[in-house]
Amino acid sequence: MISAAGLGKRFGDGWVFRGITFQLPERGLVVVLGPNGSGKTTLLKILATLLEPTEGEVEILGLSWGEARRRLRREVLYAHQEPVVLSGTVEDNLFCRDYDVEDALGLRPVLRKKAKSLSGGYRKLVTLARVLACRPKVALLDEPTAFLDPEKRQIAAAHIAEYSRKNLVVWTSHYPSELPPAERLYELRDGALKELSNIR
Amino acid sequence: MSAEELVGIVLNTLYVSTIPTLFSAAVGTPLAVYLHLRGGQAAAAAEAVFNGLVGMPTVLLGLLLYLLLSRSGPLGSLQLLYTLNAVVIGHAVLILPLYLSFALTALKGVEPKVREVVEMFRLGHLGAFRLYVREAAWGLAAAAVAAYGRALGELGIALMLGGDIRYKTRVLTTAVAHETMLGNWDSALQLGAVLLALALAVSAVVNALGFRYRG
Repeated sequence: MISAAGLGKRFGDGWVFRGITFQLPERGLVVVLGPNGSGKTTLLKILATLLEPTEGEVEILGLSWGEARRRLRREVLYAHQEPVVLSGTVEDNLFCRDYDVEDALGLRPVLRKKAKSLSGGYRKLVTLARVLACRPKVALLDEPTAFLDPEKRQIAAAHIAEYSRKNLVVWTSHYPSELPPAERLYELRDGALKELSNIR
Repeated sequence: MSAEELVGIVLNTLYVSTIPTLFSAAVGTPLAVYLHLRGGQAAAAAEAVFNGLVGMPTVLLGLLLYLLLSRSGPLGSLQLLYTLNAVVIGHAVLILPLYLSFALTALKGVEPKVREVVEMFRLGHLGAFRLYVREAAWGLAAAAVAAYGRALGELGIALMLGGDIRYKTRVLTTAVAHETMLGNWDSALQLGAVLLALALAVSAVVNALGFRYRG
């Protein structure tokens, strides 16, 4: 479904990572662990075709990176680590409507409220809901439980786990203790990605 | 000056300020969004030109347009010189770069991640335009107010292209200049106060709308 070979990304003179190779399954939950600045966000943005790799090959849903960027329409979506809300109501922020997602993430009571007036936690939920409501085949979630209180964190994690039964979810985190049960665990550190059998 | 004449002058002033402002917003907003999203050297060069034209001397612009619109000029057959429409054209040319410059600055203030949202969700040209206008609404409104203020208080173009013809093309700025030259200080000051009130009124309305629709 998504694979990479010899993937590398450089900003200016510095490489964020190099020589990354992986193959992700068609569905399930894949976790990428790594400290701040290790390149998790950069990796997800490459997979979302928002950033072009400097070197290496990426195949996304059977397409090269360039083809995927041109042809894919909401099949691969990325949810930012920092909440991104737009002007207008929460409804205005959701480009796809899915009542199950809105219910599951507890957004129904705030649908008519101005998104920018919401707390950081709700903003994060809006950012997640914007992606999940469109039912992408691949959901790239950057620290999806950041900004959430323990209760909402549990709700979001449960919904994401449920979503990953039929789709591929890539979840990044820098908190090993808070990782959900995953199909695969990777660690991105010092510019290299390695698969971990068990980190707990 | 009779009340009837004053009303006529105010209406003329509103006409030669509002129409160019609406034109600038209608033309300038899509152009600014396009340039912002396009980026690159061409967009940067265009922005530099707009910024440079913000300080364009109005008498020079008035002179160039006078040569274009005068009877022997290339557009003389349109017989626009010494009409309010000539002033409208002059003001539109004057304030469009100012609106664009301010609009581009407002668009730069939009959270950069919004562009990623636009790209990922394939919102298309119209969707991207609507989203950016909504995100930069406050800055775009400020750009329109600044453009309106520039047109409202402008004298050189109004004088050269309108001719300050009483009951026909006289606007508040040319009326103030006229009354001052005649030594009618009271009338000049009163007209100036009306001019200031018009500028403040538009700013107040935009502020109120911005407060209501913020976010």
